[in-house]
Amino acid sequence: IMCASAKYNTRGPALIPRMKTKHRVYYITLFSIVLLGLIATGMFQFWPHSIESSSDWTVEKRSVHDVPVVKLPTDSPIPERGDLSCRMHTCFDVYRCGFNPKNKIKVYIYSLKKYVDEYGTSVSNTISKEYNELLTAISDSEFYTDDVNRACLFVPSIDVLNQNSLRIKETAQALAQLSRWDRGTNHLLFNMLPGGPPDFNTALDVPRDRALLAGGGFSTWTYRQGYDVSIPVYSPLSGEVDLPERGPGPRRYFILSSQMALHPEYRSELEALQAENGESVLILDKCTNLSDGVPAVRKRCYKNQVFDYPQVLQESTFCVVLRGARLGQAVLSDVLQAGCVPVIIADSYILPFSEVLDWKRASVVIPEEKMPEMYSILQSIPQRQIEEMQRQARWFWEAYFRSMKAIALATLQIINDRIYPYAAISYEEWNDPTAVKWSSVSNPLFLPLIPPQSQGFTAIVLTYDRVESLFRVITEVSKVPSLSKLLVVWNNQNKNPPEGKSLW
Amino acid sequence: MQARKKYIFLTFLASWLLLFFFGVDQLRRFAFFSGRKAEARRNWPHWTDRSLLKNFADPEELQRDGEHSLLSPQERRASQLSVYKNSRCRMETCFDFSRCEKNGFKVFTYPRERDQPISESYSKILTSLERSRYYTPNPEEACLFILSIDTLDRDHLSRQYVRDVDEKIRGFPLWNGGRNHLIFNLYSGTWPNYTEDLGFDIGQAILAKASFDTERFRPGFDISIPLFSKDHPQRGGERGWLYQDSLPPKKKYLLVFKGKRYLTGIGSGTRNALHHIHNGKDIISLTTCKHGKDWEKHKDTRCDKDNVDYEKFDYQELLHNSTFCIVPRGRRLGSFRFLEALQAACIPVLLSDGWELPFAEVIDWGKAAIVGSERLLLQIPSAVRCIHPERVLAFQQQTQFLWDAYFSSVDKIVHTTLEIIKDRLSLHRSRSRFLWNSLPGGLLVLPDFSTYLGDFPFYYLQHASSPSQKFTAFIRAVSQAGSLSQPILRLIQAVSGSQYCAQILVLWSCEKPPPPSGKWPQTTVPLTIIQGRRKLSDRFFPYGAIQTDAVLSLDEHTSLSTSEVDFAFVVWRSFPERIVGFPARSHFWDPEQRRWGYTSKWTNELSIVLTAAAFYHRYYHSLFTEYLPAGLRELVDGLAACEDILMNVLVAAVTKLPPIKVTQRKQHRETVPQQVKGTAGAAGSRRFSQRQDCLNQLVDWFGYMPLVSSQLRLDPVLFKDQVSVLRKKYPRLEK
Repeated sequence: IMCASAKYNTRGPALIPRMKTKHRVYYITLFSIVLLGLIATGMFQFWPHSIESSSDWTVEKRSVHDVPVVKLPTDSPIPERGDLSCRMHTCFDVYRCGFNPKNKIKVYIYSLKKYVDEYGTSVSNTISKEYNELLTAISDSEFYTDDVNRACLFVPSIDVLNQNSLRIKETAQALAQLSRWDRGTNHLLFNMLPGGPPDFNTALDVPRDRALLAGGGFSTWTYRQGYDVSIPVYSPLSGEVDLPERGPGPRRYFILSSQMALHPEYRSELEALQAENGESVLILDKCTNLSDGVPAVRKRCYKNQVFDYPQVLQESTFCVVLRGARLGQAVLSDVLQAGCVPVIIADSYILPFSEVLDWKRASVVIPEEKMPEMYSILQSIPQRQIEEMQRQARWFWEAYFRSMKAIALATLQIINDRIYPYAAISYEEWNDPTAVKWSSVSNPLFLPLIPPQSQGFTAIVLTYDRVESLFRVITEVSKVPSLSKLLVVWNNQNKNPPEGKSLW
Repeated sequence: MQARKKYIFLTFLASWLLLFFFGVDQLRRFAFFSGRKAEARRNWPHWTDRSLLKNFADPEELQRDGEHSLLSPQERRASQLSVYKNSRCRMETCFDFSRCEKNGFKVFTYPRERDQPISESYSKILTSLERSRYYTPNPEEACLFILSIDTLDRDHLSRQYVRDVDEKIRGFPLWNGGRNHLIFNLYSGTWPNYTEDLGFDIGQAILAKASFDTERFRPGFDISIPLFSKDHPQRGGERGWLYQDSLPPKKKYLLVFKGKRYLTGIGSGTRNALHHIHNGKDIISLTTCKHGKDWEKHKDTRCDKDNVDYEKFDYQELLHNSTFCIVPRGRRLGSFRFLEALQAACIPVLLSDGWELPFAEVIDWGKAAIVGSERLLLQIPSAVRCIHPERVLAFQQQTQFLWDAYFSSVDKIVHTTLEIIKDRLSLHRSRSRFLWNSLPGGLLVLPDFSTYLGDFPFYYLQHASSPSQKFTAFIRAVSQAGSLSQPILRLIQAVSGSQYCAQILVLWSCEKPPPPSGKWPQTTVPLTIIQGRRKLSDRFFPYGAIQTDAVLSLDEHTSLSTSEVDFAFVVWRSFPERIVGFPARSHFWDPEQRRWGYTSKWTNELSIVLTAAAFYHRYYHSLFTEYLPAGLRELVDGLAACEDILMNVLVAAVTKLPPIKVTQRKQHRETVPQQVKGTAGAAGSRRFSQRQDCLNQLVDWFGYMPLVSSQLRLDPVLFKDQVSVLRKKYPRLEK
């Protein structure tokens, strides 16, 4: 390649001194017009920002009690129960999402309403703190659109996070009368506490037809792989307690169980472990004789010893997360926050965000039947791996558990990745802690390939001025049989490379 | 005057252009805003009383979840067993884990019956199982059972369809409702709707099936396998077609398809639409109507023209020269095309809604294929055009890695299936998704060795760690003398002098007992004697005493100096996945005898580094003993000297890279050839021909020649340079 030297326009600059006054006026007006234009452009550039920042003022400032009331007639339609065979290609209307250069789905949020039955009794609490945070996070994210016609995904403002705080039939009716409900197509519901006594279903009992469910506590029988999203059960302690990250390494206890109200059968198995292995296993329970005013949620007891919760979790290498009536437990979030490696004992539980997160790197899953072997199983894990799991656990909490915002955005990202798979976030981006992302090296040419000899090589000669030595190099290099091409990069801009075939 | 006018005009024009360029966009924005001012973007409201809102659940209730349940955990598990059966099977309800606890993961295949015809493919699967290291001929100790009835083709119109399977199965005393059975299937259902029905009751058996539909797939229980042809090689397998990384990774065509177009019936929707994206330039999408007997009956107006275009291009040529290949569903969800594209490094663009991708339980297909949607065919061209070249390059390499690691032979497909099941049996000793999806792949990573990435030789860079600073010297003593010879004493002295040496292990493989500890030389590092079982493969047994990542393998006759050891170890730390050592050999193809040759002559190439003096990672001891099937080790034990060739073949098969030779002192004698010439020529040549035979048997077993040649030798930086000796780090190497 011969790089042509830039040609300077030699006639331009000579013009100005020769100008007459008359023309000078012309030029001055011309330049001022240009200048004005540029200033105006600049102003426009900044203007919209001030408008946007002032858009906060236009956000409604109202009380949740002032929202419109909708009365649901008793005979208003109820959606079908959830369809277990739903998959993205059968129940999701992908045409609403379209092809867009940013590869981002558009999410619409229905405005908040208060639903009452025919007698004026409310159907549920209007909205919980957490669901409000979640919707605010979606609204502030780049997924959000306020245009219902451009939306690909719809999020009802009807709060179904906790099934116990709502009336199932009426909530279903409320869903069915949403303006774009259409059998629940492209609707996303968030639920963290599904089921109710006595049998505790592992998915939300509210009939919801084709709606996608982001649920905490799915079992392998209710989870529609590739359609639903498994999410964590948010622990309010995440927002309240600030647990600084503790460096990985050995801790005071080896195994710790902090859950209250464990089934007696589990508790006796844990106690058997403690009896066998002594002090390294700590089984905590609720405190019975706490003075008034101390919240029971923040204390745990073993015999007469009182421990602060969740701080005590940082004292242990492994923390047991047993299933309760439900599969999903809020304690998982606390355990991860403490950088304690969760030992998950909940058969058939679909772990949060398991579609993208590699839980084997942050947790140990043990079948319920193998609980008696727990100690020896955990002992067999190499120390260095434990340290990595501790770091990984904390990273999962920071990235995907710590707030309702984190949970909401991870859920939307997962759905987004299904719709635009060619722009999906990679395994590494989901799973590698920031520190690892920085320090690890990934070779872009990772496949061990030995290039074939037949192709030869290309020689690149950088030269400036010394044509003779250049020619000498060329003559020498061209003797090599495997040379297939020779490139000369002419780096002298003031001089053209020697011309004429004969010279070369 | 003219010129001036011209300039004025030009300046005017330029300024207007500038204004236009910057202004219009701004103006539009401005207009947009003024238009929407009345109803600015309606975000979710900031409620005035949002801090007063209640929590979604009472914190105490949240922590005490569990008090209401009536069933005890044991009762709940028992009731699940009866509810979740057959189509709702999961490992915890349909698989008997206790069978696998006592004897580990053992696989039993039903004895083949004479009168029972078995298709070529199924016979290959059975052979793979029988050759596997998990095989047991004893059903008592088996954990997993595989039928000898050919269940691959369950299309009842097919010639290979086996009738009355239900009855036959009921006759097997081991069947037990299908518990712990694994059933392989490639084709199910038939014209017209190709249902996934197998035509017999599989009960609680695990189904390993091609073209699995997500709806029928029992997650965590069934396994989706790729569709492979009857010509798929038993072992080894062809390598991928990507021989070099080309930059930019563009090929002649962007996107290609060439195949049948179904005029009616299931799957015709997708294939009928494919011609729409054909542009004749970089996107070639050709269909033919010719298939079946009566295609002309359903023929439409496009058919004749399409059939003509169809003949203009060659399938193989397209496959080789395209960046992306469309892999649409056929009548069934999977097709041969998928593996063909994978091998050809033509990135598969899947148009097969609801297909549970092969081995998707462990393989991250998002890194090697574009999972498109049948409904969005017309968006595919623009979507693939938008993919950045560096991602294309990564995709191409990943297709090759996956092809070679899991798909290129029936052996690999079967073993991947087995390893996935094995991983489910003990979750805490299973491979993470990372291990399955990065080189060298899940089959070559033994979770029983370790589950920690830093313990393997392959992941130091990605894991941002480095191999340990010390090595273990491992000396094999076989001399019949019973006392310590001079060479071994000198060797121990030299090795223990190395600053990197952590300990010395001596494997005593002689009939006579080792000399008492007083006779051994005093060393600064601990010296341990291990009593061998007098087998050649002993030297690669994963002894618990080896705690360092690096092993320096030595023979008692080897003569090495401390500097040589130091330098070789430093080199090894840069190449921890390879064998780094001194004496080298090479292999070559002998066209006259049509077999592989082995030579110890001084040549300019090397492909084997003798383990008489070599560094390698201790993980290779585990691979040698646990990954290789027992038959191969028996073969090696039966021959006089072949274990080091097997080790080299194994490492080359894992890394696809040659070993590394480091420089050695001039006077270092080649002990082995010297002996051959010196002692008895006949014995020497017999030994030599045995090594050659061994090499050929190994190639036969692996199915290809794994050894890779190299012309490289590594010297210290100032080796033989004309500088002061004081500047050199390893001056003794030159003496």
